[in-house]
Amino acid sequence: MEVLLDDARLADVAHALFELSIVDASISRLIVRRLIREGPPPEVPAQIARSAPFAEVVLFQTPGDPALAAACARLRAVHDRTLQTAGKLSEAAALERALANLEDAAFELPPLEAIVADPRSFGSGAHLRFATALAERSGAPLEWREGTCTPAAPATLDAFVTALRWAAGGGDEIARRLMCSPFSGVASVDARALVVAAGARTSLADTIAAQKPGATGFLTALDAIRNAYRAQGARASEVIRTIAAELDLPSADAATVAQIERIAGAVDAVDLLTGTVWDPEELIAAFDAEIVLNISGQAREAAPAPVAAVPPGSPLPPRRGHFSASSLNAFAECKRKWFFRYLCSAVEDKGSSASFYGTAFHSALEAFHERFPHIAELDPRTVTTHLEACITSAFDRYRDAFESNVEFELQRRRAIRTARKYGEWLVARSAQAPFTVIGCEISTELVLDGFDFVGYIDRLDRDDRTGEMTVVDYKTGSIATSAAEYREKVLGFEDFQLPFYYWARTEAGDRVTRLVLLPLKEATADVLPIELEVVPVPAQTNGKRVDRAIVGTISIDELRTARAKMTELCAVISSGSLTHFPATEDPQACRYCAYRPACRERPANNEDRFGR
Amino acid sequence: MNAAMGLDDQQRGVVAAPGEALVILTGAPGSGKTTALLRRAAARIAADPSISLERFILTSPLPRAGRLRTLVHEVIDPVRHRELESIPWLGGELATLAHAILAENALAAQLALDLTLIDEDESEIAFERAGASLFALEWTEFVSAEIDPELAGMRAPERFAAAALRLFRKLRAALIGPDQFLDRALRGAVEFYSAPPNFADPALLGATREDYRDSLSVDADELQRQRLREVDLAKVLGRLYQSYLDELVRAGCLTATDAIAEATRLLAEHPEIAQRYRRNFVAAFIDDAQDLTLGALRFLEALFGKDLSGVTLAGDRDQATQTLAGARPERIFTLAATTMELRGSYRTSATIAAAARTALGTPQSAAGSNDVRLFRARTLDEEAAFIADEAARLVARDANPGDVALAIRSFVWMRFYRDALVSAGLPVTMRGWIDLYDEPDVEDALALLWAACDPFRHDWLLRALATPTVRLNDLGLYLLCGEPSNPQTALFELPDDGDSVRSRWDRRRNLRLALNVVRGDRDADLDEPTHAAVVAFRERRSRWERSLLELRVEDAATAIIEEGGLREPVRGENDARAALRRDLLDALLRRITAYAVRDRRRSLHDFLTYAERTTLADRPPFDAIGSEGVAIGSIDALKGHEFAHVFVCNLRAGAFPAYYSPDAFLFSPTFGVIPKDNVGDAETTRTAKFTWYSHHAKLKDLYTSEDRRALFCAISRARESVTLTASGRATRGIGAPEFLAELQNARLPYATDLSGSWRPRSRR
Repeated sequence: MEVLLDDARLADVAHALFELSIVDASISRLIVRRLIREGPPPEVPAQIARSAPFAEVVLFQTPGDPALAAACARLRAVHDRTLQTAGKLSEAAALERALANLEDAAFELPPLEAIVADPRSFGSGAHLRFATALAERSGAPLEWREGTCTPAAPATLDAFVTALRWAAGGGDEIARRLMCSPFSGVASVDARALVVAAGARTSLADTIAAQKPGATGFLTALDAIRNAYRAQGARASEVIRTIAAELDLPSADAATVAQIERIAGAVDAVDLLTGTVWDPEELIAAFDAEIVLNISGQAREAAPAPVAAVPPGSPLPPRRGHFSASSLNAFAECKRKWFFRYLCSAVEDKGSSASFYGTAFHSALEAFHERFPHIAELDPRTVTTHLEACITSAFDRYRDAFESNVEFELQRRRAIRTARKYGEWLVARSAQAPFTVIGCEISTELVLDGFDFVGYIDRLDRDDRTGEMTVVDYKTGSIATSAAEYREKVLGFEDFQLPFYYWARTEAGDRVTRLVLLPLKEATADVLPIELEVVPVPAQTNGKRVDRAIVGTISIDELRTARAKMTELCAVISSGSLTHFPATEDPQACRYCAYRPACRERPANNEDRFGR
Repeated sequence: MNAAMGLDDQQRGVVAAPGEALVILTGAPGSGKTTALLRRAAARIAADPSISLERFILTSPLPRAGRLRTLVHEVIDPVRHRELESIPWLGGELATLAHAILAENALAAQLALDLTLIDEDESEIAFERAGASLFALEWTEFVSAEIDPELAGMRAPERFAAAALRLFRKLRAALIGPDQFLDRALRGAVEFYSAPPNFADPALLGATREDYRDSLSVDADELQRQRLREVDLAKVLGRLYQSYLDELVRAGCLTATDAIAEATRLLAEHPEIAQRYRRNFVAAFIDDAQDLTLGALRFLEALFGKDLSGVTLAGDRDQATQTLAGARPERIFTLAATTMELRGSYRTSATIAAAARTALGTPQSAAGSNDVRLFRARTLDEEAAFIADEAARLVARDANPGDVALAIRSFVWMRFYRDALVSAGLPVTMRGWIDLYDEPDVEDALALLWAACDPFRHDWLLRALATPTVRLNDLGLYLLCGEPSNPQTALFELPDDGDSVRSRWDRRRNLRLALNVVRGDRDADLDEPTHAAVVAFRERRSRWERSLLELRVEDAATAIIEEGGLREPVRGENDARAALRRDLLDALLRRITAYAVRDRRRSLHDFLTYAERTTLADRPPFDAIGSEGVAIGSIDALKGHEFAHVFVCNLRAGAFPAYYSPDAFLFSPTFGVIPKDNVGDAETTRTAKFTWYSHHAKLKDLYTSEDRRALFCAISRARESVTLTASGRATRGIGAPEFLAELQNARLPYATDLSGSWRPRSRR
């Protein structure tokens, strides 16, 4: 007979060799933890009572602090009484009795062939004395062998923990996690694809149901696990057995599964001994406290893949479809970003609270101006009231887009305050030069040298006296601080937005004389639009003097140059000759770029720093 | 070893000084403080070999990448080295001792019994949990409208959280708890607003930038409004601070600063425990004492008594570079003690020392050789090329690469300089708070690891497909991101998610690339070389995925990185570049191993998520990468080291020193919370209190002074030559001083200005 001495088998050994009925140490610890859970001792801070080693303190130590010592003594007394009532010995008492038996020459010990002991549990104290005495008395060799598990152990444990949480009423997030476990029975790629397909708003069950072949087996497993827990009087070991049956465990770590089953059995034993009922979180805590993942394993002999030769650049197919000013802006800013965004389109740019502020604000102003195209007819109070109503309603529609409640609330308030300033400006402006809003979010199409452009003009105003048109672009982020600076951007081919709108509306027969950027970022500042008057002849620059005026001019020739650059870029993009899209050299462009991880060509940071 | 061997008279005096009283050892850089301190410790230990080494403390508040520990080994009897191994506070961090005391007395400390010491970046995750309910506006104070959430900085929750955590760390380092913080904040508000200062003070107006002058034009109503916002902010910060500490306690983990604060509390609350330790510890030897926080000082007092008998502190006020992080040199060097100043000079020449003093703002004259050189390049690239050229020249002239150092204030710009050195064929080592996950080589590794764990992380998969063993060109990437040409190829059906906000995004795009790569849905559309590369990658990825179950986390990561070919030589790169890549990958694997070993339940996916989260961390963990080569180090990490030749780079406004831009709120024990942003129905962007306080406390000057000391410290690392460099045209120094320009303008007779005269070796 071979005797195995470890945490899991001591009760069996004690019974087989000494006819002792004991509860092993892990059950004792679980009893203490159950007692704490049922009635937390007021003298013990929660973080101590909750920490795994505290059960050992209760059972075997007397803390220096009198109140703490009293609490431990109280818990220990209840524990001892519980065992006594059930006619069981504690592990410590059983070891003492077994040692006494071994010293008793009259005691008849069955013949043993070998004793294999786990040094972690039998390497010290009474356990060590017992193992040594047993070996001496039986004459069997004592071999020390540490229990180990395979590298699959953490995933195995995680699968059971997740399944337990699901059983106890866990939501969709838990179901997704379980499906992505290597033991869910769903191929890993399918599992992750289903999670991605479900996204943030669809339930996993609906997503699975929508598939043709489907992973309906997994849904059945989920039901079975939950039903097993919900069954009246369900024991921990029964639920664990169901989980084990529903999971696909051939590649799981058998030692860990055995430990899980043992602890579930121990929890059931605690139920019987204490007359109380287990709880999944208690079982999970018991796994944390009692399971030691002693993972054995060694590195794999790795065979590096050969480094590939630099591939020849193959031209990408000509880009089909339409262009937009913003896509050309992106191309001008960073060709690699343009490649990732417009050609690959594999990574979602999820936006930020600042971008949703802008979207909601645009939407609010669209609603407002569609209802009130002629501001001069309104009194200032009406303007403010309706603007605020439109902002509130627009932000409510976008509430879920914001990352947190506080961002939503504060961006909404910021928008309301900014809208008030905007209202003041609007009233003053329309009193000075009455105008009519011809349209908002105007869908605009234009063919330039055979290239189709589309875009949306935020707002188009017609001067009531002259009939001249103004293209208005709302800006809720940082913009140029002067007309000259914006004009420089246009001339430097960094911004094609307003030139495109100009040519689109001119083509449509409008007489556009003014291009306006309307800053709607800060509530503390008055609204001071950047305005470029379209003039036939370029204005003379002031040499080196910096022109900080917010009103300036841009000539038709300059707008024509911008247009020519637009078609030139379109021709490049559509040429079918581009083989590579290099990254920008300006690291600032990478700061909030959604494609940062994807980009191997990202320049190193060289931004000026701000210390705190 | 004779403890006094090779020492000068003053140093011998230090070794022999009586051990009962507090001894403070000061002296200029290179005066032999550390040597004297170590010998004093060695003599004390050797005096009675029967005393356990555990009863001595020898530490520095700065991470030294093991250097202090190596030095301890050198001075302690080799017979005792084995004993030394298990005592981390002999040459390691003071916090390890605090942690050991807490672990021994966890019940009395009322902390979890399985307490762990964590890095600062890990504490940010605990902080995130603590702040979640605040940003969700779930606090009862918000629900009941008791507090208005419109608070300084709150509009950007991430930045607010970062600023709050920075503040809490400083408070913790100063042993100010949440209750004290709130008390002082409210008291400060009452005192300030009940008798506001003269906002029309001409000196104040004159010192305030025009953009912010309007903030001083406030009436009583506006001040009252600002006060209410400030009080709400103080309450929110107080509660958040408490929640953060509760979260750490709940999770049973503490940072080094927390451990010192908690251990000090424990010893103050339990005099009997303090007495026990006081009897136990024989002596403490603290190097770099100028960087000790108030908390660390109080901890030492708790262990050695108020008079700190048995403690020896060694330091130099002029090298204090942690005052903004909570160090209090003014308290340390004014303690009642036997103060001994070392006047020897064992490192720098008189001219280098004079240059260091001039940089500090206390010009000193000197005559001698031209071992101080100044260089202003036109561009950052040229500056980096200059340093690389000069370093290569020194190495060619027999300088050991490890005896050449590049001191930088912040690792943000490190890559320019490092890559230039490596391109010049010079191996490098790095010491400091390195943003490892921002290194392209490491990102390549992370991309492969992500591909194994979750190929639907398309941002990483795109990168993985461009790594050297796959190397798809742009056409290949483009094709793999597209729809399969065969319409029969099944894609996942996507139920309508009713999301109108992001409706422009086709959610199928979240699936295509991964399915095309892993399932081969688009194989038929690929040209032969791309097809072959993708198929090979697919096979490798599939093996890697299996290895996640078959191998331990660190072994799986090692295999993936190896098999992904990231360690293989790349055509055209030199040895230094290949070594750098291997060093960086080793550093990554060390972090993965440490992460996994700390808790064997963790998976590789957990690590990747953690790494992604900590990319946003305020300060990455300290690391030492590489074993031999030109030493690139942040200045704090180079303290205690010396080199034959030192380059101090990027000495320009906005880099060294950085522009001072305070957080959304500050805290002063006297004035309470000082919100920067004026929020709510405000007409100005800044609060009056902030504008006034900036002038009153001379914040910018304090900030700049710290950088001057850092520069002093950096220059003082040099034995034979120091080269100070910058790039671009110097500003007028209004936003921040131009350190190099100041030195150039000082026309130091012993300094050579190479600006304009240097030509790259390749063009000479």
